Amino acid sequence: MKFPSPSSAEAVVSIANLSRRFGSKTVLNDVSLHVPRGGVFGLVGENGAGKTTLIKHILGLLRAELGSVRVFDLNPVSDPVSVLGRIGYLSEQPDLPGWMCVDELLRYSRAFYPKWDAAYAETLREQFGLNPTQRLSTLSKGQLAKAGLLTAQAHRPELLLLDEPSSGLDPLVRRDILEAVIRTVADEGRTVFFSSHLLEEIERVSDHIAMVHQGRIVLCGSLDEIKQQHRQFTLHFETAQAKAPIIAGALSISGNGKEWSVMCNGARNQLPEIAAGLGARVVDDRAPTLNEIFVAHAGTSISNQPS
Amino acid sequence: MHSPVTALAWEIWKRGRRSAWLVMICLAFCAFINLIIPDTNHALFSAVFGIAMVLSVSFLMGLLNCTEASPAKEWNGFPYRIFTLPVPTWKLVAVPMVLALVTVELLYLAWIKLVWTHSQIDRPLWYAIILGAYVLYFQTTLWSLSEFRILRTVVLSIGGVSGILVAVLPAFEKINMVSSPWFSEGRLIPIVLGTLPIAFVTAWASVARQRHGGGRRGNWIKGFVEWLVDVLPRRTKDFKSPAEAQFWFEWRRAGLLLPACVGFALLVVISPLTWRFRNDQQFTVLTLCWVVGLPLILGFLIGKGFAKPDLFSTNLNVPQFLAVRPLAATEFIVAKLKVAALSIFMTWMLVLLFITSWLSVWANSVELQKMVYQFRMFYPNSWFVILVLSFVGLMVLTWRIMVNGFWTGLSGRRVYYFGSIGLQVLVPLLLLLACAIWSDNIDRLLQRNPELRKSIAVEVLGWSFAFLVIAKLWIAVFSWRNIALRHARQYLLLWIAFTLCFIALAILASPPFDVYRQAHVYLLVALLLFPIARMGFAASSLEANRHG
Repeated sequence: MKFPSPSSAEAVVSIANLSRRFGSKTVLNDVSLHVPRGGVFGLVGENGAGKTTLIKHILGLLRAELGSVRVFDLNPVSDPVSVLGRIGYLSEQPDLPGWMCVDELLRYSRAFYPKWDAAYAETLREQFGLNPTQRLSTLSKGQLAKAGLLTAQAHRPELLLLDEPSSGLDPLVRRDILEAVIRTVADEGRTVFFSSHLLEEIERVSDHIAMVHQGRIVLCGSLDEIKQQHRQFTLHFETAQAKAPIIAGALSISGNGKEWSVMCNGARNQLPEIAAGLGARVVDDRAPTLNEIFVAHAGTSISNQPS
Repeated sequence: MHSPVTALAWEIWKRGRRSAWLVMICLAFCAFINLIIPDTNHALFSAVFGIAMVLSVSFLMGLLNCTEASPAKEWNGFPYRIFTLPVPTWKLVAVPMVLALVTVELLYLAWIKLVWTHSQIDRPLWYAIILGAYVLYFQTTLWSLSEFRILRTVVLSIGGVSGILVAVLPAFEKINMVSSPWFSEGRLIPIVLGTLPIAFVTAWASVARQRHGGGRRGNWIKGFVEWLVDVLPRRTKDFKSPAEAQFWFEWRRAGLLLPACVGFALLVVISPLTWRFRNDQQFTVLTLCWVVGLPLILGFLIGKGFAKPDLFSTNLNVPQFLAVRPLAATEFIVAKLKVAALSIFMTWMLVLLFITSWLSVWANSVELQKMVYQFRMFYPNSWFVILVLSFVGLMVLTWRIMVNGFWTGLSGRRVYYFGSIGLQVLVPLLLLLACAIWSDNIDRLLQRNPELRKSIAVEVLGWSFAFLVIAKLWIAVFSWRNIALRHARQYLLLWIAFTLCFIALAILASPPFDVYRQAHVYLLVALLLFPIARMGFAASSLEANRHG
């Protein structure tokens, strides 16, 4: 079952049929995505799924080979100044020049953004505990992430793009980043596009999510809808099953013997009937976590691939 | 692969297989030429074969050196990651050494048997031994001095020259120049062979020390530069515009490099020399040429780095930090052009200051004054204007050298970048080499046909330059079509101003009695000097790099 996507008319980012190859490897395959204005949009996927490539297209750092990318209804490649001026960006490894000191970084970044809020920047700097005279090359990984977040946030961008910002960071820095994300949305209703493979994080802050797996969007929609649509059933068979039962529409089936777990997408009403037909009964019915949903979809996608 | 030794050998081969193929192609090509040329022409090609052989051995040593650079660890020696393998150190060292020895000897044998078939090689065994020894010492030096990069380069250079001297020692015995029994092959071979275990033990000890955490050294130059930057006053004012911020960024990265290098060379190398030879008239003239040429030479070298998105990085892609700035590609280029201009202005002011103080205080300028007098006699009315225009021209030429590689350096494509550097270095080298090899033939040809000199100088060059001027202007129209009119107009004004400066210089410097009518060649050169078409391509190159 497909989930409804926000319409392109109200979208901050509109991607249509985007495909990208690097050599013989297809990294993005016919991706269509609309990121609605306001709220947090989470992009989840395993390592190498194509999340960073997708974000690079949004930033205009990669030209769309096939399909189209529009950000604020502009082409980020042909009009980088207008698009990048409204985006704050933080990557997994902030590529900050090590020779600059924190104060210089702020002054330099400020020149590019007319809406730079110096007071807000100073508040964030103090909150993050960054010494203005310290050279960036001497900062720890967590401090670098905070410095990157500061420059991404201080001009109060319409779209905050975070590409796995908390990957490899300690829980305190991760908390700071997540708080900043929440604050961004709460303050002025701006948009946050947040990619991560840490699904608990995404689940905590996102309103909408898209799952990307092997270059394809396998799931897209509001988090509430997605969680509502997916159910995790536990089936109890009277006799032990040697192999997994075949259930039409099931995303994943796991277990052994008499107890089997079935993940379904929108088949909540039909499953008890199907189970009864197989000689089993539903003993548990619960909402799965985002992690379980992701694993189920990724597994489905792998098993659907031609061998 | 059932043994660590096979795996290590395979890795070395796999990493250098492209260079190995190049070596084999070079060898096959020379063998083919050797087969098809008539016997009478072998002498003509022997120099080419010699150079190709040296190149192929150098390539082979490059692929067998077994070193890895890791900027993150500031490491450039024996591959650090191999240290974690469960293999004893002596084996880690012995595998690349034995592999290098066997490969280089096989290559030498192949050259002798396939290419040098028409000439008798004197002492083939001696050269085989010295070649093998040189490869082993090369590896030992690379691994043992991995923490001393400059010292290592110096030791390798001295070792290379010494290796050549040792290789020719038996030749002295034969031609009886310096007769000594110690120059005979019979004595030299055991000595060289006897030193090889020392090379192996040294390499083994060094790598073993590095494997257990030794052999590291803090980069004191980097530390000193960072300390200097920290104590220097920092900018405390806000930038008025993104362009100003970008100019500051580029200036901080690369602006002071050329003035600092030229200043260092003037202070540390040239000044003591000029003081030492302060009474030598000829030395003054020669040194003046070197001092004037210094910014051009260093500008060429630094310009190769400056043409990249980041001078100090080997990665040619636009750093993400810069790529996400809301700034048009042309603004990035403008910032770089301005930084190059200011850097060059500072450099030439330094040079001017040095020349003025040197010539007026401690130089013996008698010979130079004679030359200046002759120059003033030759151009009685325009000598001063020519001098001023020449100085401006030199500054503009240095700027051109610094910036004309933007269109390849900013493209992010290694083939374009290294290809263009290769062409700029190799083509003149090969031309010089060809002239040296065939100098006698060229001399004879020119003596037989004296008019050829005139036709080459005036007609061939004239038509070539005319073609280049047309091509340059034609391409410029296309290269600038996507660039904002404001920038195009500004650059066109600059181009017109400096081209007029060169044209004025060409007209004034044309000889009063222009026998061969060379004035039009000068004018065409003047039109070629200031870049325009390539600057247009620079912005699209950067855009292509920035947008993948």
